[in-house]
Amino acid sequence: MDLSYSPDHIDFQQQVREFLRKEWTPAKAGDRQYVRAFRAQATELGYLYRSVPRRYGGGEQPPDVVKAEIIREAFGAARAPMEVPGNGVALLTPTLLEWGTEAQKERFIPATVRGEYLWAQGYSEPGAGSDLASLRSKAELVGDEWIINGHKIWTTLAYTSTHMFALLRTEPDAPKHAGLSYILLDFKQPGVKVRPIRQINGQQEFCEVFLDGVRTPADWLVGERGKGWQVSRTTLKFERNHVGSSTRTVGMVKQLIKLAQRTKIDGRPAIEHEDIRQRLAVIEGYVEAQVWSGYHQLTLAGKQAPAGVLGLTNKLSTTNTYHRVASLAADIIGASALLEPKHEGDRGGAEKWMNQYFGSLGLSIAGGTSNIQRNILAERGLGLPRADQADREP
Amino acid sequence: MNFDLSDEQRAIADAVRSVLEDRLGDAKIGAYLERVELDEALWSEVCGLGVCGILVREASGGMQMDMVTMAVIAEVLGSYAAPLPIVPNALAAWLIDRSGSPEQRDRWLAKLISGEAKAAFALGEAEDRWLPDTWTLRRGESGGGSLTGWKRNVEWGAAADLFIVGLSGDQLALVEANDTTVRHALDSVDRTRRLADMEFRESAAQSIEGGAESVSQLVDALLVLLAADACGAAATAMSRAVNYAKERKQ
Repeated sequence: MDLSYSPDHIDFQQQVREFLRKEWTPAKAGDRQYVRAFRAQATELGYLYRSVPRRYGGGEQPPDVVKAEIIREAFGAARAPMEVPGNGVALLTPTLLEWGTEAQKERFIPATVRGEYLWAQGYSEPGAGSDLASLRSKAELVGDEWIINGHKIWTTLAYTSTHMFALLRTEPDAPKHAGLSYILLDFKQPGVKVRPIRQINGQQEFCEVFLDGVRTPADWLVGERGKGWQVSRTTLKFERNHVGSSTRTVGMVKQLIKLAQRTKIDGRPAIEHEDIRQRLAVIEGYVEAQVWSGYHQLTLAGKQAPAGVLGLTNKLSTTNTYHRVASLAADIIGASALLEPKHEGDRGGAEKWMNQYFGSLGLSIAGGTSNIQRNILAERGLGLPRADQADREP
Repeated sequence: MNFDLSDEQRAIADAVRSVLEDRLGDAKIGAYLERVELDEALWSEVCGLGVCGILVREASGGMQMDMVTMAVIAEVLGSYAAPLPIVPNALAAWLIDRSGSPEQRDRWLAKLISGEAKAAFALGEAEDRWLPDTWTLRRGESGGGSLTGWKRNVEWGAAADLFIVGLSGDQLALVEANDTTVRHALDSVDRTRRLADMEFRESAAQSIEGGAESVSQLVDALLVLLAADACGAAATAMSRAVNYAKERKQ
């Protein structure tokens, strides 16, 4: 076992750090023009959009998980922006690369990568969240256009989006899974109505989207008719990788330890209390396990070997750790946990941890619920029978 | 052994439940989430059931029932997330009936029972000082022993007409709301339980007979009733989750 980088990778790390030292000034992070130019330069050098071909505006590099990790670390340390955040880059782009037509790739990927097209994910509906096969919003092909009618919900940041990729029922007579198609639509079309949803933490990140006779060109269908289920599963796979990384968890635990050091309970720093120390130690244990699991998965990916059951644990273990961290933080901040997160002022702003706390509850739902993760682990990881089949056993 | 509620306790709980079902059932509570002020009509209606006088002696105009009955009521209130300071009023009436002076009883008891006056407990202080042995507020040397200082996270403090204030050395004081009692409303996570920080500026404070035992009984009662309220809320959440799981198909 050897956790050090190869000489090639050490050279690469030097190059990335040198580039950041020369080209990135954190103080200019608010200057859009500057950030756009920086991203373009980093893409040109192959540091960003590594899996996106150059002809679609990407950095086009051979897959190298170690280099990807080196870039993440170096950019993180320099507080430099990486890819444009959001669904478009993280979810739609890889899906189009796998399933899109040449015309779709040319039209949508470069504008998405530059941050001009901002995408909402139109999956969940009232009554159909984790169970996407039950979706009811429909699209009907009339001439050379789809006519879309339906109601999507829990659509993240829909009110700032320019477009949506949606799962819609196009084959009403087909079995549930086979009746869906993956279709793109423009929010500027008449019939799109976005209504923000007020959340328990006072924010409005989620929205409802009403689609009333919305038109979209026939060739904005991604993949074949009725194959939306398969196409969307590619996206979901990316989403789960997306939330599986342990970098943020490690950062959160550092913050938690600082909180425990500076907050007093009964006149003594929280970190001196036996029960707090015990819970911190348990969390530390889970995070360590996640970090080492990450190194092992990185190694396997480098050898092009499947990560197996280990790869399926990422989302669930991140979710559980977030929740443990945030609920310990809520206990440490005490009375400040009674107040809405936005409340600042003489309470020292400890309520931001309540955002983490509520967010950690949401994470057990977002991107595939924890119970669905457990089902997947049981079925694909441990080889147990499918839940619905198990029910039918005598 | 008889570990069960009496018919009388059940009847009172049913009466409260019936009013709350009418007013707050079927997700009507949603209308209260943006509402900062107390709903006076709902308040009068629930007070009209006599629940604020449950613990007060009959001779003083109450129903002279026990803490278990009050807990049953708190549980029902919690199960509807009722946005009402019934528990503070009932406990303030109990405290004044038991430990107040004849003048205090005359002035406040009937009003607390009818709901005409609202009481709030101003106990907590900064740095999570909730319990009596951590209270630091004390009477000033001058100004006839008036109170100057802060109490934190006072439930429905912004609506109260009088405050029961916890002082250091296991003392309690009764402070009437006036321009020396400054309310700083807070945005509480629980929107059905509005909180305020209270700032007292040389506020006149009458003593209520205190002592370690009496004060600790009061705090215990507050905690037990808060637990009953939370238990009611949890039971509602549980039964809604079960019902949803029965009806939801996937």
